Amino acid sequence: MHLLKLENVSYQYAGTARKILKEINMGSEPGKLYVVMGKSGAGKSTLLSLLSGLDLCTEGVMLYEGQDMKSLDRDEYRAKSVGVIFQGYNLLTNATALENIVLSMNISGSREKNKRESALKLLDRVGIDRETAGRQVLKLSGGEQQRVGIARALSHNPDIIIADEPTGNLDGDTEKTIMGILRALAHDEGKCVIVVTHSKAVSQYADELWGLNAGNLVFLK
Amino acid sequence: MYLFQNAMRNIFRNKGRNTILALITFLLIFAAAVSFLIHTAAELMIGNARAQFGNQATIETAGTKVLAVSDYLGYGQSDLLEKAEFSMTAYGRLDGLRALDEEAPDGNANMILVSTSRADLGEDFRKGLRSVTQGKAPEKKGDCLVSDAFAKRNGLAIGSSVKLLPADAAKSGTAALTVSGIYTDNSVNGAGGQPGMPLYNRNNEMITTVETAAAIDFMVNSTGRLFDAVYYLKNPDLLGAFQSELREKGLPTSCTVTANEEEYIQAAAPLEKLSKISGVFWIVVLLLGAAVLVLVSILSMRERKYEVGVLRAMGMKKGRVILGMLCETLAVTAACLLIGLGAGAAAAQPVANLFMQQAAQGEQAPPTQQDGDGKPAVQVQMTASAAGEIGLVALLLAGISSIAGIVYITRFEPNRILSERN
Repeated sequence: MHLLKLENVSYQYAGTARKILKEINMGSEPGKLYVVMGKSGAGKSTLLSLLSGLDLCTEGVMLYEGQDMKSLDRDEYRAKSVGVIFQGYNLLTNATALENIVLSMNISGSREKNKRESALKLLDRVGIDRETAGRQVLKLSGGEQQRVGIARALSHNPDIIIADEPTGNLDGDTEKTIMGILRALAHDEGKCVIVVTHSKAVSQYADELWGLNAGNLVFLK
Repeated sequence: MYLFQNAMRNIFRNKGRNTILALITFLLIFAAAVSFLIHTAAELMIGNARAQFGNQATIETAGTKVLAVSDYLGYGQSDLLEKAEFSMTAYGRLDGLRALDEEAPDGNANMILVSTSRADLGEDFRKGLRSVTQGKAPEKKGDCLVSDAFAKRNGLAIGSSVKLLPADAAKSGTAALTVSGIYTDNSVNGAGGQPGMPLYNRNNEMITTVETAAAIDFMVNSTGRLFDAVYYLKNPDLLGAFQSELREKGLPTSCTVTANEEEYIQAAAPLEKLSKISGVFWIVVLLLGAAVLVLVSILSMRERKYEVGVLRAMGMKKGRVILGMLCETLAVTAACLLIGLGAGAAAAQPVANLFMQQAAQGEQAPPTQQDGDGKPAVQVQMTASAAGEIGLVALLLAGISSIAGIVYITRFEPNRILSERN
């Protein structure tokens, strides 16, 4: 059974005639890493908004565990079921890296006893040491913020991890590390990982590769 | 719990913004506290002045019209009154006794009968100019007090009888009083010492109750009799009703019932000015404060739009975002409230004194900045209820303004906020 399924999903902004996404069909399962490739303006960010529950499709049906997203509590979905790694990080910039992770755990209602220690372990896993973890996000480099964003997406142990250009600000070695983590999450922990990117290097990690072009999604391999 | 913890941390994370917000809030609370305390104190003082002066009614007779003593006494029987006080002074002659400073009986008045309904026997006794040194004050009908000098001259003691005759020898009548006590006159003036002038000697005054004096017809109807009646209304607003009642009882239309408005105005005018100024200031501060706080809150929330977007994207519910931010604002307000109330309470008294000085300058009466005990005329105090009221208003204002800002910002969907920023 598909964890997340898109059936003839289309999207157009209110007051415009152009469809950003056109009758997309896609199914994703736990334990797989999906890569959606596309150029700028292809509709990648819009697709990511729909998958992460930040927006709803204007046509078609989006199902999570067989349930229509329109009838779901999307706040709950974002807080517990999906972890999003944003291209622009979208972290609380005046809080520390550690506080960002702990807050995410709190919002998801995590029952973790020592949230602080768990958060530090997560940060360490993505290459953020304890000292850096205690620094304000605003004072971290782009690469460090990207790692904090990844750690936050994993912090509440979601079923689905969606990443928008997760390696865009990272060097080659770190890119390998991060993609390794994402692949391990899919293969070892049974998560459904969806990566939206324009990087061909990332596509080699895909279990399933999809292409997005002018709002049309096609299966590549 | 995490919402509250996060809100507290946010206060320190955003020091700059919160310092400005705290400064504005502090100034508003300070100004509101000063004006509110002064207004409340002035209103209390006005109430006191009204109770002190505005409830004393007297009857003003027109021209030569003289009301009968029995009328004055009858008017005192009213449900509208808290009490009525009467006093009467009348002249008479002693029968068989010698007045002080009297050279030889010449058929003229040689004593003064002073009567009062007051339990403290009037101002002289209250102020200590006279005191009862033997026996007791008149209680029963026919009782009287005589001075120690008069008693000595005539060999009177407690229980002695004193006979009085009309001041005018041509008139008939006699009255007998019993000495219930002896007083000593401690005043310097009026102690007599002018031979042939017994009426100038205060020691020739016999003191009795109005009830006793009113029963002596030749005293009541004597020439030069002075009768004073003061009616204490239960409420200053009952003046009109009391006058109507007296009209029904037969008070001539040429006589009017008046309250001591002059004294009230003299005492309350500067206070009313103070109350008015502080009251207007209090309202202006509240309105202006509400407007400023809403504006600051909206501006501050615009700055926090991105934060709201991130929190919502992380799955935090709109209500929780609002609650967290509200906690933050209320915590800042509560801290400002404590400091503002303290500073306001400290500053209110000097400001009130300054206002009183300026308000009194425009009045005919001299500035009454201090009362008899040397205390400031307006006693400004921070009471628990005043602090509670100001606190409630401040928290309400902060809450409303904060919600206005938060509602403004939470209208936007997280996707829109984040895409706008990115």
